[in-house]
Amino acid sequence: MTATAPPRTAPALAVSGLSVELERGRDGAVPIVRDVSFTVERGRRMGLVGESGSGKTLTAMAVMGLLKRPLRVAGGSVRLGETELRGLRRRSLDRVRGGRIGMVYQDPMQSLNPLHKVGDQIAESLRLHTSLDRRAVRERVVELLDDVGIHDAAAKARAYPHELSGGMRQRAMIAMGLAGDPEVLLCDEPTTALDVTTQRRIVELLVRISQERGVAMVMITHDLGVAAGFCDDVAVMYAGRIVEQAPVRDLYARPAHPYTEALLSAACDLTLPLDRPIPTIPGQPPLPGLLAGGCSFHPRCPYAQEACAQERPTLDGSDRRRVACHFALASVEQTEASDV
Amino acid sequence: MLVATSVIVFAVLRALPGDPVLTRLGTTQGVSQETIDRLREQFGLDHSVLSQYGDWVSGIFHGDFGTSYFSQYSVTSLIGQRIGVTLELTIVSVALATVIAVPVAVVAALKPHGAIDRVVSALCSLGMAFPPFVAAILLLIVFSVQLGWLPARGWVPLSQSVGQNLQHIILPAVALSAVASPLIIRYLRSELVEALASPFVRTAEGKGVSRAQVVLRHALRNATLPALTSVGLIFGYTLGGAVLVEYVFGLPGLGSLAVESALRRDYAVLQSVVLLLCAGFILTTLVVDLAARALDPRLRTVRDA
Amino acid sequence: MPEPTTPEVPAAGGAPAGAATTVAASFAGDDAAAAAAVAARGARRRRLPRPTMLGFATTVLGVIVLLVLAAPLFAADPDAQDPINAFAGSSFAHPFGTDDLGRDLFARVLDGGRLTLLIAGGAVLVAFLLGTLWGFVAASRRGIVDELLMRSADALMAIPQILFALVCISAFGASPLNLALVVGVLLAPTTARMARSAALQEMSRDYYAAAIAYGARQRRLLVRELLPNTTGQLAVQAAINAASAIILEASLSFVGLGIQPPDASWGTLLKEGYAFLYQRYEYAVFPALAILLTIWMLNVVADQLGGRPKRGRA
Repeated sequence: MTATAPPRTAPALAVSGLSVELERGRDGAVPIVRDVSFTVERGRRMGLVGESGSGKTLTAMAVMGLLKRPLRVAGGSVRLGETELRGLRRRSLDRVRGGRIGMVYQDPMQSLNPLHKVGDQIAESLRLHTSLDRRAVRERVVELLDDVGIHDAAAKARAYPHELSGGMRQRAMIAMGLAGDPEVLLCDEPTTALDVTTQRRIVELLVRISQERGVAMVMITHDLGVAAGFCDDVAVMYAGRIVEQAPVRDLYARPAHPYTEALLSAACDLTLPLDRPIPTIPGQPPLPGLLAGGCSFHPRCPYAQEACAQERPTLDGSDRRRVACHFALASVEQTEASDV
Repeated sequence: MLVATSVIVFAVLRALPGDPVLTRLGTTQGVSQETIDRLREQFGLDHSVLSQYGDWVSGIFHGDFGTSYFSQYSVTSLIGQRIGVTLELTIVSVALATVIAVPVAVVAALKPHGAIDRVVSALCSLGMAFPPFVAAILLLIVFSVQLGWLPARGWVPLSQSVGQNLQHIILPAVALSAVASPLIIRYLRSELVEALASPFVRTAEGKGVSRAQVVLRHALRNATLPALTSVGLIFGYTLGGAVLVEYVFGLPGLGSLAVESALRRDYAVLQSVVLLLCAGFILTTLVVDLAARALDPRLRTVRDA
Repeated sequence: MPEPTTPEVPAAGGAPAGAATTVAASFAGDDAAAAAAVAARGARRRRLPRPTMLGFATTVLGVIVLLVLAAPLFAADPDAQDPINAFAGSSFAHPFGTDDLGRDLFARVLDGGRLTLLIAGGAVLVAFLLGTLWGFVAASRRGIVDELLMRSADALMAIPQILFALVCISAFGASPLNLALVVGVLLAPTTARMARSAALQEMSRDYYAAAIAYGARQRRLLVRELLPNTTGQLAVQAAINAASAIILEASLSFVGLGIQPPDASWGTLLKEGYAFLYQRYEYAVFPALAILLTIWMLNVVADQLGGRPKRGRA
C-alpha cells in the first residue's frame, strides 16, 4: 500500500538510544527508560520482557510518539524503515501512525472507545490511511474482523465494545492495528486479560499474520511462556534498561544475565513438586529515581560483587546476543546456531 | 418525589400564622365577621387542612389549581399567562450558557493547568460568586442606566415583536448564563481532561487521528455524557435564579408571580407556582437522565454496568 | 496545609502509588505505577501556591468580618440623616457617597453587613447541627431509616431554595432569627447528604471498626469518632453554606420579604439602591460588591479546602 517498499537493507524498525523521562516541574526530570536499542527485521517477532514497571510499555509508547506530559522522550532515535519518527510534526506523524506502524494496546476494554461501534473504530483507521470509498471500507472492516477469527464479523462490526467478550475485543483490537496494513505492529500485553486457550489462539493468530504479511512485530509481555511461543528474539528489560537480548532459544537454554535466570526460575514450572515453594526474586523492583549505583540489579542479585555496586555494566556482545553484566553467566560470544 | 414536595409546600403554608383573608381585606375594621367567614368558605379555608390538601391535589389533576385569594382570577389562568415567559427565559439562558461554555471548556481542557486554563478557572470562580439577581442589577446599571442600549424593565411577547422580545430577554438571559456557564465549564472541563488522558483517546491518536478529530469525535463526545448529568443541576440553578431575575427586570413570569404572591400571602397561587416549578425541575432531571441513558450504548443494552 | 516535602524518595514498597496522577497512571497501565509515584511527588511541589490562595481568601474574609464588627469604632453613624447631602458622590467624609436621606453609604454597608453575616452565621450553625445529625444518623442506621431520611432530603432539595425560602418566610414572618432558622433548615438537606457520604467513608476505615469492637456506644461513635474525622469536609460544606445563606438572605430582603427597614442588611441596601438606580447607581453597586467579594472568597476557601461538592441551588 505504501508507494515504495523499504529497501532490504533497512530493518523494519530500528530503535536506538531511546530514553524516556518524567518531568518533575522545576526539579528537572527522572529518567524512566534509558538508552534502549533494538532492531526488528521484516517478518520477525521480537519480545520485550520484564516485570511491571520495567519500562516496556513506555518504550512502545515512545516509539509511537504517544507519550504525554509529564512523560517525554529525552533522546534517541526511532527509525521506521527509512523514516525517522522522532521530531516529526504531528501531521506527518499522523500519516505514519495507524498506517505504516500499528499498535495493539493492553486492556482493550479501556483502549476502545466505549461509545463507538467496533466496526466504526476500525473504519476510522481505514478512512485515514487508505483511499477506499465508503462501501469498500465497510467490506474491508468485515474482512479484517473475519481475518482475526471473529465469526459473524458483519454483525460484530455493528456491536459496541462492551457487547463483545474479552477475547473478541482483543481480536477486534488486533484487526484495528492491522487496518492500515502496517510494516510494524507493536503488541502491548495482548493476551494478559485472557484465559489460557484464548491466549494461545491470539498468539497463533499473531504469528500467522507476521508470517503471511511479513509484518515485523514487537510483543510486550511479562509472561515468559507467551514470549517463548511467539518470539524470534527476546530483550529483557530491568529498571528501564535492556539487560539482555538474545535469540529465544539461547535465552531460555542459557540465560546470561542473573536477572533473566531469576525470571526464568520464578516462572511457574508445573513440573516442580507441589510441596516446594515457588521460587521468587527477592526484593522489589526499584523505583525510578531510586536506582542503586552501578548495576541496577545488584541489590537483588545473588552473584553480586563489589564491582557491581561501583560500575554499571554496559550492554555488550554481538548483534545476535548482548548482555549487561560484569559476571555474565553464559558467554555471549559463542552461541549455538539457532534458526533464522 | 413530587408528592412529598407538594406535601411539604402545602404543610408549611397552612400550618402557619398569617390569615390570607385578613391580608386580602387589609384591615378588619368595618368588615363584619360574616363577610370574613363567607370569604373563608369561598376559598374552602373552613375545611380541615387535610381536605384542603385533598381539594388542591384533586383539582390539579383536573387542571384546576384553584382560585387566587387575592384577585378573582383562577390560578390556572394566572399561571397560563406567565409560564411562557419563564419557559423562554430558562431555555434561552441554558442555551446561551451552553454555547458559551462548550468552546471555553474545550480550549481550557486542551492544556490542563496551562495559562488559558488558569484564567478560565479564575473567571469561573468569579462568575460563580454572582448571585444571578446581583448580576442582573449590575447589568441593568451598565446597559440600561449608563449606556441606555437596552430597555430596563418590561416585556414584549415573542408573538408581538421578535426584535423587541429579544431586547427584553437578552439582559436577563445573560445574567442567568453568567452564573450557569461557569458551572458547565467546570464539569465539562474536568470530564474532558479525564477523557483526553484516557486510553481510548491514546488509541485514536495511535491510529493517526488528527488533533481536532480526537477532541471532537473521541474526547468531547465521551465527556459530554457524564457532564450531561449536571444539566439537571444547572437547570435547577437557572430556574431558582430566574425567580429574582424576573423580578429585577419586571418580567411577567412565574418567578415574579411567586414573589408577588408571597408578598400578598396568596398561598393558593404561591403553592401552585412552587409546585409547578419543582415539577419542571424534577421532570428536566428525569428527561436528562433518560437522554444520557439513550446516548450511552453501555446503558442501552445492559441494565447494570 | 503545606505538606512536608519528602526527601528524594520514600522507602521502597511504601510508595504513595495511590496518589498517582491520572495522566501517568492511565497512560502506561501498571507499567507506570512506579513512574506515577514519582509524578505524585513532583505534583506535590507544584501544588505549593494553593495554600497561599487559601490564606489570601481567609484573610480577606477576616478583614470583612473585622470591618463589619468594628464599624461603630471608626465609621460614621449609619442612621444619621443629612437630606441636604442626599445622593452625594464619593468624598473623604463619605467614601461610598450618601443615600437618598443623606446617610453615609460606607457606614450603611458595614452596618448592613452585621445582620447579613449574623444571619449567615446562624444559618450555617443550624445547617451544621441539623445536617450533621441527619446525615450521621442516616449513615449509622442504614436500612429503612437511612432510606427515609435521604428520600426526604432529596424531596427538600428538589425545591429550588429561593422558592422554598419564599414559602417559609411568607408563612413564618421575617425576623432575623426566623431568617437564620429558615435558611439553616433549607441548607440542612445538602449538608446531610455530604455528612452521610463523609461518614460512610470514615466508617469503612479500620479505626471505626476498632472503636466498635472496643464497645463504644452509638453517641460516642458519632461525636468522638465521626465528627473529628469529617471536619475537613464539614468545613468545606460550611463555607458553601455561608455563601448560599448570604445569597438567600440578600434575595429575600431584596424583594422585601427579609429584613424590614429600619434594620439594614446587604439585601435591603440592594433593594433601596435598586429603587434609586437612575438617581445614583452606586447606591446599588456597593452592597452588590460587598456580597460578591464575600461569596467569592467563601467559594475560594471551599475550593481550596477540598474537592468541591455539588453546589446547592440558590
